[in-house]
Amino acid sequence: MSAVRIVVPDIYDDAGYPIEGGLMDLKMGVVNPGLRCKTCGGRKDTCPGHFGHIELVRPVIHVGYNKKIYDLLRTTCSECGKITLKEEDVKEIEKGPEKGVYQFRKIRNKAKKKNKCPHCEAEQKEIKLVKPTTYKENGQILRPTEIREKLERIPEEHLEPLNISKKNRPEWMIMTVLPVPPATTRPSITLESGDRSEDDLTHKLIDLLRINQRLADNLSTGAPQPIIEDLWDLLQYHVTTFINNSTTGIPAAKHRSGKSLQTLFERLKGKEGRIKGNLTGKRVNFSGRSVISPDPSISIGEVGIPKQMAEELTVPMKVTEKNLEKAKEYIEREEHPKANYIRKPTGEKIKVTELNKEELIEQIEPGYEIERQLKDNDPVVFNRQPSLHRLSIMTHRAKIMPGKTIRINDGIALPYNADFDGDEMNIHIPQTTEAQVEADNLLEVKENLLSPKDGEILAGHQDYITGLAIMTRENTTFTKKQTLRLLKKAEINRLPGDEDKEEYTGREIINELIPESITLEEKSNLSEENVKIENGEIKQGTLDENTFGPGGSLTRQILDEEGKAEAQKFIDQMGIITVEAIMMKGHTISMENYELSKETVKKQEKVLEQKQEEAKKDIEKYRKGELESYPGKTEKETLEAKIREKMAEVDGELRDLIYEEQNIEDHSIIMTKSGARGSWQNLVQMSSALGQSAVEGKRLDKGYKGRILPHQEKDTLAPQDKGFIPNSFIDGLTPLQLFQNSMDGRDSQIDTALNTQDSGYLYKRISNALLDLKVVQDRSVRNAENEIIQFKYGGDQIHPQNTRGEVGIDLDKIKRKVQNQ
Amino acid sequence: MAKKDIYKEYQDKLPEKLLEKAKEKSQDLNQKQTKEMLEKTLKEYEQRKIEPGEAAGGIAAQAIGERATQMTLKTFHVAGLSEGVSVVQGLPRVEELVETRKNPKREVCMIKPKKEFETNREKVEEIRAKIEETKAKDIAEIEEDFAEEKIIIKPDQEKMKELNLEPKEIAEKIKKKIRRTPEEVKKDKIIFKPNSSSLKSLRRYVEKTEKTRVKGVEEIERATLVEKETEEGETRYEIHTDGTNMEEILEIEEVDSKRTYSNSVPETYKVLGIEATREILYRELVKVTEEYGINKRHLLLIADALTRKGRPTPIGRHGLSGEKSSVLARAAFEEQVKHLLKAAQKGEKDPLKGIAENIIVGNPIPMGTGTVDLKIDLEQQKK
Repeated sequence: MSAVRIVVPDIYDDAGYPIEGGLMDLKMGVVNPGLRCKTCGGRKDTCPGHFGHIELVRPVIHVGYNKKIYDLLRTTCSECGKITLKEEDVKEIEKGPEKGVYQFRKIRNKAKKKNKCPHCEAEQKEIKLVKPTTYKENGQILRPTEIREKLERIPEEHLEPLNISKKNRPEWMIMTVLPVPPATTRPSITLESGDRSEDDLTHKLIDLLRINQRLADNLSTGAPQPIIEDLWDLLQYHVTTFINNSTTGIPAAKHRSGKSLQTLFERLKGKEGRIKGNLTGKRVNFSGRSVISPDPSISIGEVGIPKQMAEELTVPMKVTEKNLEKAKEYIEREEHPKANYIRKPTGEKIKVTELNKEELIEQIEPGYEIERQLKDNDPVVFNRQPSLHRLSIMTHRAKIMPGKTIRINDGIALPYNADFDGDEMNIHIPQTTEAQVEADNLLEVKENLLSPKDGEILAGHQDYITGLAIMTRENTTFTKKQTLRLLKKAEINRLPGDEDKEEYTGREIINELIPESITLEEKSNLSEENVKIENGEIKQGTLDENTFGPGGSLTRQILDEEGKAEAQKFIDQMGIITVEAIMMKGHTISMENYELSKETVKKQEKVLEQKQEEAKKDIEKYRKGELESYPGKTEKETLEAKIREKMAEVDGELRDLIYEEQNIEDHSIIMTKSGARGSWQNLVQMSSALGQSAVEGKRLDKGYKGRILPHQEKDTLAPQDKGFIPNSFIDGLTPLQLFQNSMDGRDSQIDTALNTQDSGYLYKRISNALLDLKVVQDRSVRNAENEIIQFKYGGDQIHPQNTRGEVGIDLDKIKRKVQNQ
Repeated sequence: MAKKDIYKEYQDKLPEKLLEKAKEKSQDLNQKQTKEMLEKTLKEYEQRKIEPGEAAGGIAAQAIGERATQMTLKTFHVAGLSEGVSVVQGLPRVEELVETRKNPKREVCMIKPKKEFETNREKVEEIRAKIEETKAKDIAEIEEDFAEEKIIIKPDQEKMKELNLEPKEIAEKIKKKIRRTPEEVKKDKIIFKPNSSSLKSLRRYVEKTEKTRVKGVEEIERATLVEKETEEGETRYEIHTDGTNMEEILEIEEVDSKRTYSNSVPETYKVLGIEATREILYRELVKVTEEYGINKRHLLLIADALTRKGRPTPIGRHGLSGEKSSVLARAAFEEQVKHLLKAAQKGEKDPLKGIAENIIVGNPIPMGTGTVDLKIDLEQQKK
């Protein structure tokens, strides 16, 4: 394996040329341009590098295997090297359910207790490991040479139970030769000043070689034993730190600056290590990142790319006879979609400039490749982190735009979980034809409208729903001019129903978007009656989140009946029309929305008082010991549960009172009820009362003994003292209430902070465990080893994406169709 | 062709449940229509099938993982006050399940009495009392007499009656626990003289005596009688317990062993075996994720993956991820260097069949469009 033996603890000679037998020997590969590798003859880019070796004067222990060596010493006889168990005992353990490491552990645990070898009757001494690399036998230090001899005695047929491959020998864990990594894995850097700066590994190897040399000198001159031992230990130290510089128990080798050296283990380990940092996660070219902003005028399948970005990002185009003229045109062009580079069949890449343009046009012929700038309609892979599900990466069609932000339609922000308060997103340009085709056919937005999680549509939310609700309410009308404008936005160039009227209802306009095949009934939160659509015509009801938006049945039915492209078009049209309609009608909220009438306030006060009174009664009962406890609960727990129940009821009753009073015309109510934004809890907290504050799911209980603050009575149990806040945000809070509310706030902040960490780690583990499972040709689920996990995926082979709930096949509908034939 | 035969024709083609439903719906149709309806159903079913190559594991993990970010940490949640017991919910419970943890935070057992007792409140209450663990200190006052080095146990007569206990039984139980014969057994007084060498050891004997279980099943801290109303309006009783001990509970004659259920994964595995464990995992996962709307097929896949090896295998580095056959895949997850060293020692080969390995070496992953492979018969080529 080794290309050269390294003996000289130096790198370059005075002329700056690598020394033969030195650490940058040209036989180990080249890092400097201009030189050739002496082993393979390759240059800087072509030579992969070759290992060298250092012959260690005395053997040393490999730290990575210190525990394994320890285990081997304890498991095998120190005289004959056999496992200190009878053959039958080993066989029996081998038959057991444990395999691999677990089997070995069982053997070890049994064998280490034996103090006599059953094979050669030799007495077994007690072995101890003083970390990291010193072994003691009955208190006496074992030298690596002695350990090596012991390990050499282990017979081959005993290796398998010891969990070692027969191809290997255990004594190889004590090193007599140290492999020297190829020069290419530890390149030296030439600084601007012309000085060379060497890699950490090279530094370490120099030290190691020096000590090795000194030990050799001392041995040949017959130096006294203690000096030899010291040097041997030092050699061990250097080899140890060369392998693992964060070994516990020994000081880390350091730079002159005091920084710890990065040696072999550190290179591989951790998030920025070779494996996770460079192999499973890589930096890529042809990508970009910018702040995102919303643009309802583009399709959900499009993405607005800033012109500056488009000029930098390129798509390769193979020049053939058919597109030769086009290629020339790209090179010729002076403006945006032009060629940035051409690539000759030899692989040489030339930048297209004003100066060489003419020349290149002359030159270009089939077989060349040009890299042209990104232009409209190119597939672009779009992503927002954290990429929690596969809808976090989808393909959009590029649309080159002025400005510096990436634009997306707000309707598709939900699957990305994006908002526009400064979020940034990434784009990637697929380069090969395969990648482009796959990106286009598999990752496109229209292919991913359905969530693989449960088959819901994740498009259109917030303002879209508000706008839709406003449009489809009773009595919403638009003038002829407005109607034309709205429909024009959705690229419909006719009046609703081809009728010439002065006014059109919102429903009439929406009807133009719904395909005729749609017949559906769905509940509505905004109108008394259900939404009824017959043959693409809204007969009654106000459309809201149940019909459109995430999980909406209307969109889903259009997708089922008319296909993905129609569904996408529908969402696009809905998006632009609803947003436009909101702008026409105006939509805003103000403090007035949340101020309640005197009567309602009175009613609410009554509710609040009454519930608190009830709670107080329970408290009294509890104090007297008359409270009947729930099954399996103590009296105290019962009381707390009862009060919490009551306080929860308060919210509901207050909400009903608000809903009673508030006009459906109120903008905030429209948003809440339609499911666009905001919840009734928000309303209640602003208008009526904040309700019960809780820490760790219980009424407030922290702070002083029996009370939260010293300003309260001792051992109080009253609702208001334990965090019930009957004031609303509009009323304002008392200092005590503010404090209580803050306690709740802090608690939920901590909760979310911890939760994101926990759930992130959980996700990582689950996904790593299930990563390899896939559906194979016979639709069974198998893992990487081709073992069967499920015989039929999900029991019925149905993709969750194609279901709504259980199976998702509407038998009634099929029946109707059959009957109507 | 009779209708029956038509159904038979589709027996292997359609999933059982779907066929059942189709049968029901097609009652009033004639043969031709029935045939057509089934044909259409089959067509739609075929369209909805999962495609070969789909990363089933990946999407299952994403379904849970993406939702997990929205789960709350609220650990204990009262599962309805009348249920009597509270269970761990939300994210911590999901973690507990997929880690197949040895000691779940709150183990709960839902005990159903045999059908004949179900409606009999007194009888069920009797079973309940039998199950709930009662310790000596709960029914008696225990004192030590340092001068005489004696332990004096004074049973509470009322409680004894309630639990239908005799002083003799208690004495017998304590005798077994502390391995000393009682000196005196009277109705209101039991005396032990443990011959202890010191006061300290006497104290230890007292502690042991206090903890002696005089009645009930071990580990069952509390058993609650729960009323359940059936659809027919009948009241049935069952028992919910904090803590489980299925081995002993199932031994009780009046308990319906077929319908009794423990939410503890390791215990179910120990008592009922791997198939039951899979079912428990699935049901419990469905229960915790109920409000988050995750398709059940994802959860079923997770339950299947966790129990494939014939024992519950946790996720993570000591479980499924740590037991992968590929070195590179293991190294890519956690404890990178350890796996590389071990692989060297065992002379492992990596067949590059999984995802992580292929990403590391820069190959297309064997999933989706990457599953397709082209093989050339070299022998044929030579000819």
